[in-house]
Amino acid sequence: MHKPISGFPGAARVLPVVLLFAAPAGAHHSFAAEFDIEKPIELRGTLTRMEWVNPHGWLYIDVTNPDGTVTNWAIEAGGATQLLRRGLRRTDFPVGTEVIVNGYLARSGEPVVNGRSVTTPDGRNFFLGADPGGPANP
Amino acid sequence: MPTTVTASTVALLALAGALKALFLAPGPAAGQAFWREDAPKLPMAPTWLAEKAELPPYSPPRTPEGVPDLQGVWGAPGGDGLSYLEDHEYIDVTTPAQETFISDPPDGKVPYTPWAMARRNEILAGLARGWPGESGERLYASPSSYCLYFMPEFSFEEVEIVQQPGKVIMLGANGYRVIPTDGRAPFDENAKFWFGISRGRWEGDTLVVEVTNLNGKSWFDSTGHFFSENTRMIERLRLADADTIDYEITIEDPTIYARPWKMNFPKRRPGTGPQTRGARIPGAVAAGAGQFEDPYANEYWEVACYEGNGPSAASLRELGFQWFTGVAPPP
Repeated sequence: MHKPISGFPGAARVLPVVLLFAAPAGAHHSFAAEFDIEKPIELRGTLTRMEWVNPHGWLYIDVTNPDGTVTNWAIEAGGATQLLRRGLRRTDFPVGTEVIVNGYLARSGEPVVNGRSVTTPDGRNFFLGADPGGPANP
Repeated sequence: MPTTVTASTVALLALAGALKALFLAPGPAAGQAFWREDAPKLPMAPTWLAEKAELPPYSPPRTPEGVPDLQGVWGAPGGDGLSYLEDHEYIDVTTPAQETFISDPPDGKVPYTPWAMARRNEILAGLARGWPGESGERLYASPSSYCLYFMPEFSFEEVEIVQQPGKVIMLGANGYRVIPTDGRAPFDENAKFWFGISRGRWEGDTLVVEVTNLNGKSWFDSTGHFFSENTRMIERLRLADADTIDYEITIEDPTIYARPWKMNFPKRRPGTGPQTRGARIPGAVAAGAGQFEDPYANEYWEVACYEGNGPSAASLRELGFQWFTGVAPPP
């Protein structure tokens, strides 16, 4: 379910522009047209679905807004061929897991994010430490 | 202390590994990296011209047919992922400083006629990427964003070359191209295609491919450098050493360019050259390519971009971008 939104939902914290790493892999040239690098966003939600397709995989997470309503956000990620090359399979994405997603907001105003990193509730960020030269990890 | 592993722990670990690869997985051809503003300028034609001038002469192996053996997987030029054809300083996180693709003319710029330059500037002003000089309106998004495939970008990206008597076949992640080398007749000039029509021949150690019958609806890069349906492209592929193809393409079209011009860069076998998979690319904060070893690097897999690109295409439409339908040179 995509619920139209105006501005940011309350559950989404807008962070200052800090470039971490983690590619919006396989964005095939449209990233800058579709997503706004000046609008990084953090979402906390529950994984509801994974679309295993090229050229982008899509994660869907339910995010509860302050008024109790739920918005299902679409998170663009790397494509199926890239995942298969890593030895991953569809079954590696159990639904129901709580995740924190960092990414960039779509220019369209829809609840769509270009994914940058994912953190689990125990605080592990799966991307930190991979890029000692990055500005976010001096 | 004994370790307790629960089903949920296993699921979480699986998810962790899956998500890590999900976002960091390299895009074999068009993976988009994010770059720091102080990233060193990425090499392209000028660096390659200097590098190949130092290479000793190389005599390529031959196929049973007796022609040079160009078979194997050959990488894309790398760099900013074909964002911007000409030399430029840092523009945004997906468009880091990079040398020009253009080896001739020496200034590294596309030699547009005045009319075509005005059209080029109009397209640039309508990209809506937050760059200086934009009109504030959305005009065209890159044809690649719709998962359209075309020349010459197809040849620029990673391809596997397979040779058979009388033909050279290029397999790409999203299509293929058959180049006859048997001297067959030209195609009817009125038929136009995204890939055009290719006719190849061997000149010494070099595969020369003439590409005509192009529909002129695509770009050289993702920011609007264009050609037309009158454009003729001449590709030259020659082994500079065992692991490197010296790829040169000449572009001719008196209706939009003041003179013929050339692009030149190396296409390398996976795992060779300065920007290899598994190696960090200096200055990249988010390398689309190169952050992980790819155990299948030497296998060529189909991507089929068109398979699930609906959401991206719909998003571009909703933002107001149009399809680029080509240029109509003045009579």
